[in-house]
Amino acid sequence: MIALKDIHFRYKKNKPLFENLNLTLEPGFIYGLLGKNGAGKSSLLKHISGLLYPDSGQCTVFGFDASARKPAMLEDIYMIPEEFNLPPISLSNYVKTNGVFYSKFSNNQLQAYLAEFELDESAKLSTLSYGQKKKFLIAFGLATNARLLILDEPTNGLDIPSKSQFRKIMAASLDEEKIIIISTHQVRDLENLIDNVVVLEKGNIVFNRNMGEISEKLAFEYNLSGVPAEEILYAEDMHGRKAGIVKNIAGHDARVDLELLFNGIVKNAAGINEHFANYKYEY
Amino acid sequence: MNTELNLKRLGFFLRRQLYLNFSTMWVAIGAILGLLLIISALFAYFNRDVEIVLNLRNLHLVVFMLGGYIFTSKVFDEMHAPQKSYMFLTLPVSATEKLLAAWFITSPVYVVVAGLMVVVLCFITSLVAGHLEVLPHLFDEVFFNCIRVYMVTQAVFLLGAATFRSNNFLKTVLALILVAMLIAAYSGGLGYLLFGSGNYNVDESSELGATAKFIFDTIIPMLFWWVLAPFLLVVSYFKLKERQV
Repeated sequence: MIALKDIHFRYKKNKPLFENLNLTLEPGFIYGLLGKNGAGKSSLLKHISGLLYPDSGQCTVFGFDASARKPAMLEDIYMIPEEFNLPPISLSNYVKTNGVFYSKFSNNQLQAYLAEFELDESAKLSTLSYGQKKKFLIAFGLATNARLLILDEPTNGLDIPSKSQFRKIMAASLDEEKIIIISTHQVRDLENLIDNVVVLEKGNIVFNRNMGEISEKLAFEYNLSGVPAEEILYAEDMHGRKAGIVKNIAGHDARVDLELLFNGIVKNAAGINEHFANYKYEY
Repeated sequence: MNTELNLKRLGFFLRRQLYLNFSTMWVAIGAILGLLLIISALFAYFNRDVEIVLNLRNLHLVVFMLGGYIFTSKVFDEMHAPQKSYMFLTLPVSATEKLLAAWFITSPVYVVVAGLMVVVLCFITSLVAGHLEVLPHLFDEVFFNCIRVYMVTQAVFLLGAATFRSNNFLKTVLALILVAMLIAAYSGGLGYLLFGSGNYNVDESSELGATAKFIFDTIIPMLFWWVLAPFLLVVSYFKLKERQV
């Protein structure tokens, strides 16, 4: 389990980014971390992986204090940042020099992932495109069998077939011990993949709900004409029509439109959260 | 299992660091060795003199020390590169192991490799100069003292490598100059406050003279040879431990 408790943090000479931030992430789920630019997503991921230390409060990862960066904890964390620079060596040499630090590293799994992503192990990392490098890191990260996988904008630079391969591999790799955190702006890439939506706004967690709960309590409409105003939680213009989030009064599971949900939370987090708190079935 | 120091993991980390930096190191070693070889051979050929062979040995030692300081200053480059630091810091290796590996590569390993290079250069120089008989005399007390001094003072540059994010070598040299100036100003000021502008003559047999002699002959050398390097390594350890992106 990952627990961030009363986290306060500010970058030097800047106003506070996190004030009293609390978040708990449970194993067995894929979390989608959403937020606007500068909301604090990358900083939050860096706190979890021990790359940034809170000014006060505590961040624990599987019982370890993240800022201590103990090897036993780091063996269970693999982070793929948005921007990275890999050494000019072959994939196989990269695996030889880095895989040994992860006690649960599986070469068989790596081979399977590399085959899925159509990557040649003898190729040099310097000759690969950005997207291919990212796919290699995803394959390597999954092969470490770390219990926490952190991916910052994983689908950036991936082509359309690779995005669907990515979704397939991520969904298949999840087990009851693993926590996968995916931070992204490209919310459509996460549909049908994530189990929980966490939205960060100005350093605060403004929304943290399970997808099942969201689909049960909210409905996403692309034409709001005829929908009573009191049922509309959020509305926006979409191709000349009004689209938005409405109360799912019937309680039937609805398809979740992450983009609409995110926009709605950014504009009306209080209203949507209030609906979750006061939700009652109306048959 | 000791989570801070695991010898197997330390070995893996040493191999990783050497492997990832090997190509850069190889180019640098080749370039420096080639340049020194040309300079030494030309000087030795046109000045077939014993004195020249000795002077060239001194030049090799200066390059040996300077090269070592620059190499040490770059040992944590991966940690300071914005797009590589995450990998270095999240690698399951403790700060102790990262520091020990960096010290081992830049101190004993460097001393052996660069020392062998100096031996080869001295051999070629004395051969070209036609004074091969001088070779054994080139590895005198000065030679081994240089190695000892390097092994102590490189810890300063190791701390600089862990502390500064860019231009580590130049910033460390600047920091050393500033520290030396501060110590000189403090000592001068203290001397002036104690003795004023009078022409005070410290007699060695006086209590003050004996104390000064004890400090300069015993305490300062002991601090330099035995305390300085371990102290700087401990400070470097905390710098690594507290490093954030």
